Amino acid sequence: MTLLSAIQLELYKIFSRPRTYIAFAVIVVLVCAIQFGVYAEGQTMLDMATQNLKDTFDFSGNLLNGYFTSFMILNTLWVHIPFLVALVTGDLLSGEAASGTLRLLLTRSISRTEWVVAKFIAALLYSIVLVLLLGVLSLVIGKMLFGFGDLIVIRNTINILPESDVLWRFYGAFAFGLLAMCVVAALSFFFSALSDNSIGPIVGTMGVVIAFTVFSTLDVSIFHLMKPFLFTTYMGDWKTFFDFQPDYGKIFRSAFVLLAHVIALFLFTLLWFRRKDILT
Amino acid sequence: MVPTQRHSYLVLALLLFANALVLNTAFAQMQPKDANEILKPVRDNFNQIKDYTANAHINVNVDFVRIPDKDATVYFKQPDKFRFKAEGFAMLPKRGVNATVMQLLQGNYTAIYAGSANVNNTQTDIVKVLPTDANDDVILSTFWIDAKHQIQRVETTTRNNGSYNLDFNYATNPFNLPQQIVINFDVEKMNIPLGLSMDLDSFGKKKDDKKSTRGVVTVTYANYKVNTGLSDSVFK
Repeated sequence: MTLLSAIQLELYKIFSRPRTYIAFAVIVVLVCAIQFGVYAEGQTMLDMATQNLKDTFDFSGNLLNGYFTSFMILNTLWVHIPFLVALVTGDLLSGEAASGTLRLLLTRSISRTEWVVAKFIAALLYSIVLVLLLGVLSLVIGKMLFGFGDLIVIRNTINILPESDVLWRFYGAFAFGLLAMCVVAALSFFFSALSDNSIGPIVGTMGVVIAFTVFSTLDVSIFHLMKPFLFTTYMGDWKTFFDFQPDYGKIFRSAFVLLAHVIALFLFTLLWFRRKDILT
Repeated sequence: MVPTQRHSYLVLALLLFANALVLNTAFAQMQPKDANEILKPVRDNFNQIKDYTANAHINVNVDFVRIPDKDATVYFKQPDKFRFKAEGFAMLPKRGVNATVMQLLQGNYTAIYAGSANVNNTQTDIVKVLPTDANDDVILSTFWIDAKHQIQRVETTTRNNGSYNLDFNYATNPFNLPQQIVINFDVEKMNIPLGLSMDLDSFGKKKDDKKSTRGVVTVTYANYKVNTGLSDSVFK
């Protein structure tokens, strides 16, 4: 069996399981719900956010458009997409152990290394498909419901980005988000190698992501020392694409750190699994 | 009378007359000017404008807002219809750009001459305008008007909306319409709830305590089309 056929087999296994489609269904439901919610109440939200400005300025043009809703959807990336990624990738190795197929699979004409590499690549491809679905769905439905226009990004400042200058930012942000989800996939894959049941890796991954996110986000002095070492500190830097003048240095540094996490977690997984005694 | 004595009296009379002339002129200059007389040609000039359309280039410089320069088309029709349209999103200050300054001069007010000053390298007369309507938001407006009856600067203080200043630059536009207006104004800082911004990076961070800041908007006009008979449908 070649590596390519092993990858194809793993992808088949992933996409033939009903659990995989839970994640896609959740994405579709969430995106549609947010888009229709914004369609119903979005103008009120925008009016609230810009009320002070409206006291001083007259506005021309409509900020409620597909880019605005897609940006709102991206903001939810940090909470539900990691879970949907871990739901599948956390089961890749531990699921085989739990179902008793691990020994059988490892007797085939493929080394442990190739087998782990095949599963890892399948995990990354699954994460890519999930994030791509999120991106395409949010932009397409946003365009259909609202059309496109200038994008308002409300953070510490209000940034109004011209329509012609927005789409590439979404490409960059989704690519960066994809890399961040690959870190989550790699982490859950690592936990999956350590465990013989699937619940542990999935819950463990979510626990780590949530805890690290809290440590990364809160401006508390005791957490400051930890922040540079937490991957969640860098996961939110996709927002830098929507600054008026993106800080490319920051983006590349964060991307490098996330990529390093992916590689390191994969190597830990590989080293562990190659030496693991298969007792199930 | 001896001829030399006659000459002396003549010279003395001439000297006295010249002196009186000089003194009269100096005295006239020392008298305060009539503020209403200064404002009248400004108002009359504006009243000749029934409507206008112009291209506007808008630059917004506010502390907490980042927006690129925008090109818009502005429409005005007497007495107070104003509209602007741009491709995409644009914003203009409510006060200053839409002839609110001239609308002040259409109402009831008390005008006081307050001297002269050099503004924008132009000698101007200063007129203070106090609206007499107790409900008017404007408390006091100070106009700097030059000899060509062009407004060079306006400083206005309002009850509810802070203060704003307008500086005008002129080229050769019809009816003294400005080439450029620079509006300097108070704007309240925004406190955006976390639920709206979803900006977790700022969660727990200390926020700036200042409640308001100054903003500067520069609007540069071109291609004025005046008195073309604009339809009211443009303003809907």
